[in-house]
Amino acid sequence: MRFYIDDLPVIFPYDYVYPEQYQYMCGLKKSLDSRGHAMLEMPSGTGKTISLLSLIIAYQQFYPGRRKLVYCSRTVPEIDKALAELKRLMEYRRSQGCEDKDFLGLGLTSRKNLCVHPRVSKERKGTVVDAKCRQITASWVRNKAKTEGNIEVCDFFEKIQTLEATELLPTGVYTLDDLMDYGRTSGMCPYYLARRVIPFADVIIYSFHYMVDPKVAEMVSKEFEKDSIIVFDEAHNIDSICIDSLSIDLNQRTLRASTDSVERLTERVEEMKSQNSEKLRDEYERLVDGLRDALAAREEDLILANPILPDKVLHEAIPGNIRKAEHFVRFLKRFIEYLKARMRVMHVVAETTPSFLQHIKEITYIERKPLRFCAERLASLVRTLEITDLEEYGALAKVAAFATLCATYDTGFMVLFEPYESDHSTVPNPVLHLACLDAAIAIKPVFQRFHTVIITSGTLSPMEMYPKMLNFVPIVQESLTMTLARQCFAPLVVTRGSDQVTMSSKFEVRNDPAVVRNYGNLLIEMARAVPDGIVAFFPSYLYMESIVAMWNENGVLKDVWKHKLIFVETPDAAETSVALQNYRTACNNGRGAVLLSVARGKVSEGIDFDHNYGRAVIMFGIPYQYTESRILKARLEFMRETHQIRENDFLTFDALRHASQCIGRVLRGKTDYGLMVLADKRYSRSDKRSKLPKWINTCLTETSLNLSTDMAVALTRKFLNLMAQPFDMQAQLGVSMWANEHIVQHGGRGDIVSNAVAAIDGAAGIEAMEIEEVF
Amino acid sequence: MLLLPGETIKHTSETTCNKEDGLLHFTNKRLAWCKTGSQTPAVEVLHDHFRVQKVSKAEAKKVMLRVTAALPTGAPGDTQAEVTHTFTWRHADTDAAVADREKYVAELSLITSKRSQGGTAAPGSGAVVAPGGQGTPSASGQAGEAAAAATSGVTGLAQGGGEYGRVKVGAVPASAEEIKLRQDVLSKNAELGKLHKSLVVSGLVPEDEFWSTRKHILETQAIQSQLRKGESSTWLDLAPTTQESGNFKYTITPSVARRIFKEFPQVKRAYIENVPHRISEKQFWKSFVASQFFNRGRSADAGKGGRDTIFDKCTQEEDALFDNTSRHDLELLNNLLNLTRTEEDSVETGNAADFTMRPASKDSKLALIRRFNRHSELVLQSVLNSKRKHDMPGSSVTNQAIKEATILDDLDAPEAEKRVKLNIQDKSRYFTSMTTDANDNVPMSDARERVQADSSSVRSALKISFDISRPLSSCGNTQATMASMLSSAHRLAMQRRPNRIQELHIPDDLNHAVAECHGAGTEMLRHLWALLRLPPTADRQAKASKIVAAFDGVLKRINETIVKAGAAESKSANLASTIESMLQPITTSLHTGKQAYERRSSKVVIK
Repeated sequence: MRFYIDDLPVIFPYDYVYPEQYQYMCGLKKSLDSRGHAMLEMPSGTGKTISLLSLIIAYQQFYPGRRKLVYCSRTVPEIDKALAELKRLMEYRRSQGCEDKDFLGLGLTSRKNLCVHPRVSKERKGTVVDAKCRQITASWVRNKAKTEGNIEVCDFFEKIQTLEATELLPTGVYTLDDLMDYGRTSGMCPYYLARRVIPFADVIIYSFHYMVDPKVAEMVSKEFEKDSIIVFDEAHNIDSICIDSLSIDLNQRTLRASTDSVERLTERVEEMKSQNSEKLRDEYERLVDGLRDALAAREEDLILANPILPDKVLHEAIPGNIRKAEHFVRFLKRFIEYLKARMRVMHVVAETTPSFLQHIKEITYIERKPLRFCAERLASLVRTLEITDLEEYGALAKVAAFATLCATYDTGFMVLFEPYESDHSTVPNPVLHLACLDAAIAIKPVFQRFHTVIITSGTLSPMEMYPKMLNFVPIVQESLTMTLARQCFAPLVVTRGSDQVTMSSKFEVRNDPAVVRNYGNLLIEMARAVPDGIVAFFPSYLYMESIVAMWNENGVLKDVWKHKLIFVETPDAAETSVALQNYRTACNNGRGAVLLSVARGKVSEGIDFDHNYGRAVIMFGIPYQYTESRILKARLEFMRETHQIRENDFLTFDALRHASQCIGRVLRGKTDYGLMVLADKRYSRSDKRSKLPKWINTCLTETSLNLSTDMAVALTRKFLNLMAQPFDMQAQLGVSMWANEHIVQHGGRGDIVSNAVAAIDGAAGIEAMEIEEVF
Repeated sequence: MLLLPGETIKHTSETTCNKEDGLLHFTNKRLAWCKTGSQTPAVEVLHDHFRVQKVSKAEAKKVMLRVTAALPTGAPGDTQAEVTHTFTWRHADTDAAVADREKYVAELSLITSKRSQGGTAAPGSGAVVAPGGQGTPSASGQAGEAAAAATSGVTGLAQGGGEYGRVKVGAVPASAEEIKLRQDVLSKNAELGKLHKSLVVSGLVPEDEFWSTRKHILETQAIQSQLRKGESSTWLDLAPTTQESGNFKYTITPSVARRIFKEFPQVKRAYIENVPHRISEKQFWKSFVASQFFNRGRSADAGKGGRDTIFDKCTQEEDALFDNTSRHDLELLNNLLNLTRTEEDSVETGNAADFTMRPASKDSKLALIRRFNRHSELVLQSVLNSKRKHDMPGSSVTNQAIKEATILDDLDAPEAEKRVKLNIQDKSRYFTSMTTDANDNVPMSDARERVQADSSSVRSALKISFDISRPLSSCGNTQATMASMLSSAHRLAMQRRPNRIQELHIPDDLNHAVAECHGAGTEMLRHLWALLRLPPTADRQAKASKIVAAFDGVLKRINETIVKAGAAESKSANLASTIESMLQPITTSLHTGKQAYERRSSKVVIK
């Protein structure tokens, strides 16, 4: 269908549009027009991605300037899906007569996911793929190959070097699979191909890290114009990603490995000195001039990434005391020794970065400035020494990044030393954490550089939290509810078992036999009443493990086995993927299955449980973070002091965004239906409820707020009976689904052609005509 | 190959026979095998001589077909004078070879079934047991293969169960399988059972006639009866019983042991290695239930199990199996479910997860969880057809998955749905709730209103707008009109009928008798008209005459009913005449049918 938002013709690849999609696009357009940031919350499963793409592509193609869209998503499957939607949209636009000349849209992911080299792509670990790739694509290897022969280079990479960037890829939309197919047939490396053509693409889809993580962003995202439109989809967790990208853990294994690396570096330096000191001297010269130019020279070499942000990187020369290779190596050695000494302490130490630096200075006489250049200097050295197996230097790079970050930021960070893993363990496992506390640091350059940054998700409530944490001012801030012709999801708050004993995952009672049994009974009853798939989420992996073991012993699982198969998420991604696939098969062939997984785990992020894959989600307890964690405590304190966010508010907010993320995964489209069971007494309190997204919250009525297991099961049966009735699509029209005439009725502007024919609402019709004339 | 006059080749395959390569042909006259290069068949079995076929087991390496035939010289039925030929398929691909062989199997069984149909079994009587003597092929088509193989004593039948529609329905006389099916259908479907009782058992309609128009029911039943029940998903839970002395007792039966072996291949290996030459079976199981391996994941018993070399090794093996993540073939995964791709998408950053989000490495709960996953997978695999090829993640499969995961179907204009008829076996019970609804809850006036409202809606649908500006397609939707008319007529009838019968005060037994007469009459008329519409043959003619003869029985029953009505006491004065008028339509129809038959038969005679 085609309709207008203001004067912008939008082509939407369906026959109808949901009202919330329309409103979403209106909000989006407002923020694009005003070149400001936006926050938009729209219920899960109502077609956020396609609305977003439809509007932005329309905008891009209609107005001058052709603003580039950079769409960041959370997981690779989500990137796949977004690319597929983009492809379909562009096909639809073409069928509607839009030319969209020279349109190029593509995705980017790691070498591991894109490599087509017959040998390298067989590796299972990403780091190994990177290392092997570097061994055959590094510039010095290629130079050597030119003169010496019998040195292997990557043909796929070589082919790209022979062509101009604009000739590499015909226009069109490439999904990741398409890109790999193209790479295979044309004999070009899809990864480098994508990186080369990114500056010319109209739409780029990749994961958050490529935009937020300075180590990666520096490589792929630095060339975008200020006018680009940046979208963070599924961004409810963006603060954690920002924080993660600047946090580092060092343990004893890392330090041991770094010592080895330093030894190896020393040898290499000696070796090179004895053979060919030219290169080292060249490097020295370059470092005097400044580092940036040196880096710019070979942009396609895989380098050791620098963890600090573009605007923090100084354009000044490297300090004199680490310019010489042997000096720098010795400097590193000293720093590592210092860290090792710190590891021997047997009590917890928490300090700010300035105090940490002060201590270093007192003990080792290492100054702040050389520490700050540590990462850059190491990258330069590794290149000069022509080291190809970067994987071995991973630990050392981590240490260097640690030093650089400590020496760059005075606030927003904490250095924490913990000798034991937890308070109960007796075996020491010392870890030195560098914890970023301020989410705004990592994302600040994004907000500063680009006019329009859009943060969107199914669950962003309460919305005032994000501008505070990320330190930005949204121009548009909207939370859309779901318009429904029938109530297709039922949130149920189960507070007690059939025996009236309270259910809660509160730490004091969670292992109480009565609670465990009641949780178990809830699962059994639901397994009995609900067809096909059920997904159950637990607040933490530890709790899931222990409750599953207890259920196994007290016979709960035996009853569940009678009704459904049981699959459980494990820490291993491959294993869990296989379990997921089997879970789906069981749902499809009618056997039915229960999937037990963790609210902050891999499954909860980005796997959909729509239709028969999830007729019910059970959230056992509230997925609070482990509040005894020192890092979390420090972050809470930081937020209280700088953003005036109360500890409890943040904790509840964080727990509920994960809970609503979990339960939101049951729905896709309005013909789908599912139950959302929140099994904890505390969900019935208003402070928890108010933090649920508006679209879920409005459906929580008094009758579903304080249920016992048997009441919940009765409601479940009633709901499922109701939902099993045939659903007349026509009932949706005008209510939860708009055709062109409904857009007109609601004061919008539909497509002119159909308007003239329909002309149901005379006034609206005339209005539309008038606008047409003005235009 | 040189063909006989009038011979055509139906199938040809490369096979070996007597260790020589050649071509096997199946023609409309014979089964023949020629050596490579030769034009005259070295082996030849005429259709009339063919006796029994046997096939190799499905899992056998070689795909073979063994055909037993009477020697051309031998007298028919003389089982002594037989020859056997074995053909081995030369296809490298076993599946293709099996498929190829199936063609021959089907053809050969067709021969046997044809032959048996020409047999002499008397039609008419219900319980005819299929002929299935020594060496005689069984009656019913595809099942012939099974029966033939079974009677000649082949143990592992290749294509046994699992395949649908083995039993061919509709042969006369009915095969044993079919009779079994009929019984099953009748016992399951009460309504049909009633009809069967009143028509067939009372002798109004012959058994085979009754079923001949209900083949589809039998076929459905045949498929349903051959659906295998999947493996039970219950978790193997060895619970001990406590004895008086306070000791625990575990009972391990062979079936339990089999399940243990299936669930834990490590235990099976240990069993094979140790029992009975190292330790006795009893000792083996005793140490099994005491071992840490068995007690993994049980918090209370975690420390209890002692060291045990046999089962500690099992534990290690199990861990090795689980830890070996490369055992998962990620190539077979749906891309959208492959979590490793996200994991490999970016370099690892951030502080490590706190300990609540990590697996507890020290105890064995992880092993328990992995056992769950494995168990579910095993159950699932036993359900899935093992022959089924795994979905290769070709781009089409992935695209399909992505399409399913992204497209919102309801936003597209709906297309006509394909509907499946609801299979209700006992309609009377299903509709009781509805009729009571109409009678008890809804007052009559309300119902009438509804009917009126309906009729107005019907009228509105009928109204054709002559507004020229409207597109033609929207004028008068005939289908919708028909549907609404039908439904309102239906509803009216539903509402009136029960009431009228109540008003008439007809005793129940009479009511039944009337219904029976109607049922029998309709049933027979159905058969008659079906026969009359087809071009006449002697066979059909005979059948028709039989049916017409049976008309008299029905008419007699009708008369009896009317007489009975005259004698019965009732509030209604003229019960006999009411009943007579109720039976009038069927009487008329029967007469019409009879006349039509007579006209037809006289024509046939003239011809």
